[in-house]
Amino acid sequence: MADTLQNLLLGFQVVLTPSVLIYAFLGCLIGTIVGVLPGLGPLAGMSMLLPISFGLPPTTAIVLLAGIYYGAMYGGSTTSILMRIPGEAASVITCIDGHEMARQGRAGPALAIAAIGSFVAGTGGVVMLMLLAPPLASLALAFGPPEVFALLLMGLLVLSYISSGPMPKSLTMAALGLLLGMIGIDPMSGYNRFSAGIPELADGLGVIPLAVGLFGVSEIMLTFGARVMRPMKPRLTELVPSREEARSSVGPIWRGTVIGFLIGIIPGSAHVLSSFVSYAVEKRLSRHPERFGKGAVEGVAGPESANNAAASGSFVPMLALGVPLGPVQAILIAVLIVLGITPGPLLITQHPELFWGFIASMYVGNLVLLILNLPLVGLFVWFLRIPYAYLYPTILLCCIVGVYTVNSSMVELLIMAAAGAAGYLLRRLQYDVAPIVLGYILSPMLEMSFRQSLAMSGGDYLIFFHRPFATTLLAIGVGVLLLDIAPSLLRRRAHQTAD
Amino acid sequence: MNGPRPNDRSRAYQRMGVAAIVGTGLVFIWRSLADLPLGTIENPGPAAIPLALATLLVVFALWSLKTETSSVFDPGEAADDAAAEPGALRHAILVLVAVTAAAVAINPLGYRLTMLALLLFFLGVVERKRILVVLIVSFALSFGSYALFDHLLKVTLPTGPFGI
Repeated sequence: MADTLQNLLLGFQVVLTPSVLIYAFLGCLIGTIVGVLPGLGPLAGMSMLLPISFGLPPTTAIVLLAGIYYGAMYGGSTTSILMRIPGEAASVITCIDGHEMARQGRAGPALAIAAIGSFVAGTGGVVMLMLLAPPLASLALAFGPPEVFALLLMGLLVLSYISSGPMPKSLTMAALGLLLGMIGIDPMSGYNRFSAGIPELADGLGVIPLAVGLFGVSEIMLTFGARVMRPMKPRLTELVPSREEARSSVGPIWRGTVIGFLIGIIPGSAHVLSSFVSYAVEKRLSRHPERFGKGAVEGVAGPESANNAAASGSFVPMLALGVPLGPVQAILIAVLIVLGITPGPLLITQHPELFWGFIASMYVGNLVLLILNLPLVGLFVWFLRIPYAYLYPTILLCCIVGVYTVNSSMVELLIMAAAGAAGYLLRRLQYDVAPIVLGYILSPMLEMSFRQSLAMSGGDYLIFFHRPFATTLLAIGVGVLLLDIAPSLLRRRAHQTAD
Repeated sequence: MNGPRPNDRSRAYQRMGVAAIVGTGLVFIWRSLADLPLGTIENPGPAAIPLALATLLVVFALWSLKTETSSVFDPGEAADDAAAEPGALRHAILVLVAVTAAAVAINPLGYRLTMLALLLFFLGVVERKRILVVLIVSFALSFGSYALFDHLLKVTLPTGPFGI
């Protein structure tokens, strides 16, 4: 414990410097704006600002991007409460009771409870992350290529199971991402694969053009005719919750914190799942479940706390194992790699300033967000008044400059345009495009660990079943696959029996 | 004569989507076999994993089509939206064409002129905003963002004719 506190002190020394603080503040501010604007999620926001992060020291870059992520988690609740439009997928559930409270003239307390719950849960989540990640990283040092391969495979299968579309569609997208990750020079043999003679493709398609195209450009292509919004604008004096509202929120906030953190460790978009689970738990535990849907403060406090704690929990596999099991973490890992840092269990010992600086920045970020979100709610609401006709050309400009500045490459801009077109078509056909980006980033790690495992075993595929960790992880992956397949197989058998 | 019903149209769109994905998988299979050594089962070569992944892509795409058609078919809000809003497709195509044109023009024309043209096109031609507002916003954003990136963030952006 003393070590942990000492390390945390080191983290605060890193973060409490003017330059890092400024970027933490900027990240939170931009993230909140991204969260407030419907349609623009944290992924699009982070993708657009990736190039700026490449010119920064690693700790500052991660602090900036992580600030955008949890800023978006905070900001998403504002539009849910004031306009019944979720700014971010995790805030969908807040629309129900949050907006109902707003309609009853309690918009201020709903916003305050959401912000306070997010602060408590965000901070609680960081405490759990800080205590859990280092021992898990020590355990992960025993991981060899077979375990890494099994973990990545399990991550992709779990992500496909819990992502927004049907599992076969998500698996299709994950396979497409993995396949796109094969483009470029094979690091083991030196062969140039699928690059069609284009020299720029030797290094692959690039995660930034792909992510900006799939999330940023396709979003603009999809949002035709978006209207100017006229949200309610609560005054600062109306933000204080009543004693009854404050008392009713305490339990849901703590339960949401624990539920959110635990679900957050699950691969994929767990923050979305956590808010739904928290809502269901609060409704089940309530003595008056009939109030849910009619402005119950517990329906705001629980889910908002859960989605912020889940944001902290989702960093556990990334920081402890160096394995991104969600698209947001995949982007952060990509940034670390570009900046010359090898993510993995050794990150904590080799780059303590980065790990503990990141942890400390989350404490600071949560405080900044609390300060930003309550008094400045009017400012964020103002962003919703910018006519869409002006907003989307500006976002396009950000996408173009963001992608171009990475390598000054016209080809990467064309890749972004192609990814935008593909993302548009796939999303219209109700495919979730997040597994593409995750698959793309995991692809080299997956192939390398697979081939290294076979090299270790002299070509014996049973190596994956001779090692307990690898076998367990693969079994979880197969179990998840069966969870999806089994019901339809049982239905078919029942039909055949009936016939 | 009646056109296709929304359900039929959605199914057709889904099939076309799956066909495109399967086609992509087949291209990867073909190029893997044609260009790269497959290796052995004990020691896979550079073609092995792409070949396996492309095969999985085809299998998953066909599986997704099967589950779509065997389930009680949801008309698919996305595909129906397209029919409901004919302007949506036009907007998407305009965005795509503009981004592609900007990609091609950015090196020869420079960042500022390309972005200026892009913004003038969207605000003036597509959105038909008042000319004065269009000019102010377009110049401010294109030249302002250049100043921000080039001077403040020290990110080099291309310049075009006359050093603009």
